[in-house]
Amino acid sequence: MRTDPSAWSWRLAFGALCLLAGCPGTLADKALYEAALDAGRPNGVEGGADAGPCGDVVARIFVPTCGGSACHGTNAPQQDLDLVSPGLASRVVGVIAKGCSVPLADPADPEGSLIYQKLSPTPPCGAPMPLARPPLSQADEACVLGWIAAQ
Amino acid sequence: MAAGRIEVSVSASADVGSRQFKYSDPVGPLPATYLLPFAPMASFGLETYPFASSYLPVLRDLGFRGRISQGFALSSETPQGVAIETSWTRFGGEVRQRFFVPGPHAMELGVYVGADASYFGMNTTTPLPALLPAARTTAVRLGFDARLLVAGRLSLLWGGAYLATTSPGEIYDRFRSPSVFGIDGELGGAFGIMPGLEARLTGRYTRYVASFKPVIGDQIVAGGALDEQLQFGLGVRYAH
Repeated sequence: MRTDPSAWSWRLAFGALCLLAGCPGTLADKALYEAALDAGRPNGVEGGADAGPCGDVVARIFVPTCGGSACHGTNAPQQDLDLVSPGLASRVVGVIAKGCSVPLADPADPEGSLIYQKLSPTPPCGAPMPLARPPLSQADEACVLGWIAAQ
Repeated sequence: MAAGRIEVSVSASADVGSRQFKYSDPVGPLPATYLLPFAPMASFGLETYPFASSYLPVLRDLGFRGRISQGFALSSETPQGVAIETSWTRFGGEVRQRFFVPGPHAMELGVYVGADASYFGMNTTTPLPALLPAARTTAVRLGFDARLLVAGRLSLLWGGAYLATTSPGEIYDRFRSPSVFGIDGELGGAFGIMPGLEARLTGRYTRYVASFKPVIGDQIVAGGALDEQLQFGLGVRYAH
């Protein structure tokens, strides 16, 4: 991969300026937080049937998107990961993913959780999810992130 | 008055202060910008070199100084016009080592380490749709300053410092994992009125920079914050 030297020069100059003048922190993905706020969270992310604008995240997002017969349904799920059956939290929170040394869901670090990272175009292992389907909307990604954080 | 080996000095000035607190990447209405455009203040300072009259090579240029600035008759309000009880006190003290550079444009350089504080109090009984950036910020201050004889009785003063916060202040408790540091710069001029007495016009700009690490689910979200404090003063200093 080639990089543009002038782009790096600008980045270095900006970094040096920030070091000297002091620049406040920024959000890597502000839209995610805005989507979460628009969705009325954090009060509506617990995943229950009456869980606010995000709704029941498991029933509304995981089951129809991930629970196909050849995917993460109840019958011989891929990577032994069943995202459909009741009690999902007990199967993913603090559990290291099969074939990838990342916790499936870590409420202390929702963005580092594999379930969330797999929604990005470049997950740490394997293919992006959902496989062979359109990616989730930004608001639904925020709902998944919120569901992880709320466990 | 040129740069000289003084033993003690006292200073006083009438100042105006200003403060702006704004967020980077704020989400929602709570992290709102706050501006105090004008605040009358009074400042006092004391500087002493206990061994200045001795011949001890390093100790005679080792000194201590302290200062305090107090805002008074402050009026502050939100963009919605809600009045806020406001108070502002800045104070600090340092151990300073000075060095002299002789010549037609004599110069005094100083390096120092000490403590600095800015207590900005805000209070209201009216429910507000925004956070109040009240902050009792304390920091270790590490810096340098210089005084250059420009011509005749006129000297130029400048300096800069890094502020390593030891307590960033209440507003930052609202955010996850705040990281706060500051820098400040000083620029001014001194004009000798008579031996030992000079008039001073000084300015100080302080900039506290914060970074936060929010996660989805936090109720108050921003990427960071910038707290800018500006202070200009016109006063006198008497040195012996």
